[in-house]
Amino acid sequence: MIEFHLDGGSGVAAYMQIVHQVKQALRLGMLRTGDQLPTVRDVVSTLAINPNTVLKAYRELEMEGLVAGRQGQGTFVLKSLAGPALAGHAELRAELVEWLERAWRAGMDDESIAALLATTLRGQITARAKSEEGAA
Amino acid sequence: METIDLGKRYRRSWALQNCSLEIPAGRIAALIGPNGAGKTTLLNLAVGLLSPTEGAVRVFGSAPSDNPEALGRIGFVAQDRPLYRSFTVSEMLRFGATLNPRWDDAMARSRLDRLNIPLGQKVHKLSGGQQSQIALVLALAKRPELIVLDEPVAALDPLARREFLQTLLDATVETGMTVLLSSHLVGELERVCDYLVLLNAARVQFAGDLETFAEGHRLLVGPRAQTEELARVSHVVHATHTDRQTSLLVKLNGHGYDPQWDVRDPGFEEIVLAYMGQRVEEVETTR
Amino acid sequence: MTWLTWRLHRTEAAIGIPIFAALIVIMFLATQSVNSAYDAASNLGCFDNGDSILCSERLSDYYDRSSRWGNLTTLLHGIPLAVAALLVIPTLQELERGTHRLAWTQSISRRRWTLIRVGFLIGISTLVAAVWAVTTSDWRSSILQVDEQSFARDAFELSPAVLVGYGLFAVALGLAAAVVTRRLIPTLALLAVGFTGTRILTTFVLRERYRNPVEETIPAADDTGQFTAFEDRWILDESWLTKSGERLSWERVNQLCTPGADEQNFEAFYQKCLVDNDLQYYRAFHPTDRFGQFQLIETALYLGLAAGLFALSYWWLTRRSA
Repeated sequence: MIEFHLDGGSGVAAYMQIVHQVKQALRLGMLRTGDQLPTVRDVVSTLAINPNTVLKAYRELEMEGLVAGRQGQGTFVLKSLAGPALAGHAELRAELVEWLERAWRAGMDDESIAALLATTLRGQITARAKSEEGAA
Repeated sequence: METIDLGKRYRRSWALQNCSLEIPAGRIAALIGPNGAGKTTLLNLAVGLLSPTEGAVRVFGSAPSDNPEALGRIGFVAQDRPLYRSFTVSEMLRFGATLNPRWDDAMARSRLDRLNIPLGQKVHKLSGGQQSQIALVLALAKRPELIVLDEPVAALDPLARREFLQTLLDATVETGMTVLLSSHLVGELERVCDYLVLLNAARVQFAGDLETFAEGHRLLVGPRAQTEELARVSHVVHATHTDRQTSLLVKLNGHGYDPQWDVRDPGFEEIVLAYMGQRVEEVETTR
Repeated sequence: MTWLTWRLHRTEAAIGIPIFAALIVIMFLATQSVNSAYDAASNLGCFDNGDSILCSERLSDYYDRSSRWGNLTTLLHGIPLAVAALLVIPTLQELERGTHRLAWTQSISRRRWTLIRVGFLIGISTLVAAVWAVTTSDWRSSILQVDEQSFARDAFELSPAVLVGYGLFAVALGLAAAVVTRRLIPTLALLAVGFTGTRILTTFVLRERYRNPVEETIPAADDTGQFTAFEDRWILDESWLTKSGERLSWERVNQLCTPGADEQNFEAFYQKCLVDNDLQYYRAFHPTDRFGQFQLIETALYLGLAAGLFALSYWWLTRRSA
C-alpha cells in the first residue's frame, strides 16, 4: 500500500500531486496490476484533505485508463506504467550528457545545475498540467 | 443551511448585514474573514444561540432557535470549546448521552480510544489539543448532519491541528455530513474545504465553490497607472501601488486586458487577503 | 437532565449537607439544654413563686441558657443566605464559563433548560426551609413557653411559612444576580446586601405596618389589672396620657406619684395617684389573632419578590441575545 505526501508550497494542485504520485508508483513498480489504491477514507484520515480532492484524483486516473473503481470494494490498478528500463533511453541519455558538459564548460557548478534542472522540470510539469486541465 | 438577508445588530453597530447564502449539503465549507468581520455572529445564528435582528436563518428548512429537533441534527464546537472542566472524560460523554436523543456512545469511545485519551481523566488536566478533540467527538457522537465549528484549530500547535482535522475529515467521509468551519488560518483551508464564504466588514464578499474562487481571479501587474487607466479595468477587487508599479487583483469577467498588464494567476491566499483589504504581496509564481 | 443537575451541584451538596446536619444538631442541643433548665425550674413552681434560693439558682440558670443559646440562634437567621449562595454557585460557574451554551447546543431548548434549573432551585430551597422549620419548631415552642410572645422575632421568623418565603427569595435573588452579573463577587455581594437589607426592612419597618394597630385608651380608674397582666400581643406603643390626651413620659409620671418615705402599700398608693390625676393608659398593639394574617402577608411579600426575580432570570436567559 503506498502513501501519499502533499507539498503545500509547490503550486501544484493537490489532486494533481496525487495523480503524479500514483503514476510515479506505477512507473517504479511499487504499484502493480491488481493492487488496491488507498481508500478515500484512509487518504483523508492521513493527509487531512478534502475527500473530493481524492475522488477527483482517482477519477482522473480512471479516465486515463490506469485504474478502475469496483463498487463497494475500492479502486484497483489496471495497467502498469513500468516502461522499458531507464537504461534503455539511450538517445535521451546521450543528449543529457552533452548538455551537462556544456553547462560545466559555461562555468556552472553542480548545485546550480541541479537547481536549474529542478525548477525547469517543475515549471514544465506545471505548464503541461495546466494545458491538460485546459483541454479537459 | 441557508440565510435570507440575515442581519444582526448589537446596540448601534451591525455585526452582520444583508447576508444571503446557501451552504449545499455534503460540502466542507470555510468561513473566512478578519477578526470582527462577523464570523462568530453568523455561526451563533446558525446554531440558534442568537436570534436575527432582521432576515432569517434556516437549517434543514427550519429556524434553529429553541428547536430541539433541528438542534439534534446540528453539532457545534464553539470557539473557546467550553467543556465542564471538573468532569472526567466519561462524564462528558454521559452529559452528551443524556441531552441528545441520538447518541452513538460506542463510536465516541472508540474515537477517543484511538486518540489515546483516557476516559477517567479530568478535562482540565488534558492538553489543549486533547480538549479540542473531546469537544469534537462530543459533537460527532450525536450523529449530526451538519457540524459547525468556530475557529476550532486557532489555539492549537500544528500537530494537534493536523490530528483535529484528521478526525473531522474522517467523520465526514464516514457520514457524508456537511461541515461549516471558520478560521483565519487561510493556508490550511485550501486543502480541506471545497466551498468558501468570505466575510468582511459584516458583509458577504464571496460565497461559492473554492475552485471558482481560485480560478476566477487574475493578478494584473503593470507600470504605475493613473486613475483613468484604472477605471477602464473592471471588477477590481484590490489595488496596490508602489512608485513604479501597480498591482490589481481582478475578478474574471471575460474581457481581455490591455497589453500593458502582465496577467498572472494569484495564489489562493493572495486572493483572500485582497478581499480582506490587505496589501497584495508580489509573489514569484511558477504557474 | 437529572444526572447533570446532580453532578453539577455535587460539590456544593458535599459541603452544604454536613454543615446543615451540624446546624440541626446544634439546634437540637439548644432546645434540649433550655428545656431541661425550664423543667428544672418549673417543677419547683419557680415561675409562680421564685423566692427560694434554689429557685433563684434554677431561674437564673434558665435565663442564662436562654440568652446564650438565643444569641447563637440569632446567627442562624443567615441560613437562607448561605443556602442560596451554595445553590446558586454552580449555575454562576456555568454562566461564567459558557458551559450553558454547550448545553443549549445539545438537543435541549433554552426554555426547558432554564425551567429545569429554576425548578430544581425552588425545590431544594423549599425542602431545606421545610426541614429547618421542623427542626426549629421545638425551639419555637420553648421560647413561647415563658414569653408567650408569638410576634417575638425568633418565634415569628422561624415559622414554616415565612422560612419558605425567605429561602425562595434568597435563591431567586442569588440566581438573578448570577444571571445578570455573571461573576462571583458581584453575585455574592448583591445577594448578601439585598437579602439582609430586605429582611431588616421587613422586620423593623414593614412588619408592624401590615395592618393598622388597634388603639385603646383606658382611664386609670377602669383598671382591672389588665395593665400589668401579661397578654400575648405585639405592643407597638404605650404610655400614660393626661385627661386631655397629652403624653406623659415615665419620669414625669414617677415624679407625679412619688410615695412618701413611710408609705406602706406602694401599689395602692400608686393606683390612687393615677386615678386622682385622671390619667389614662394608651396602647397601640396587634392582638394575637393577627399572627396568622401577618405570617401570610410576610410570606406573600417574599414569595412575590421571589416570583418576580425568577421571572427576570427566566426572561434574561431565554431572550436569545446572550
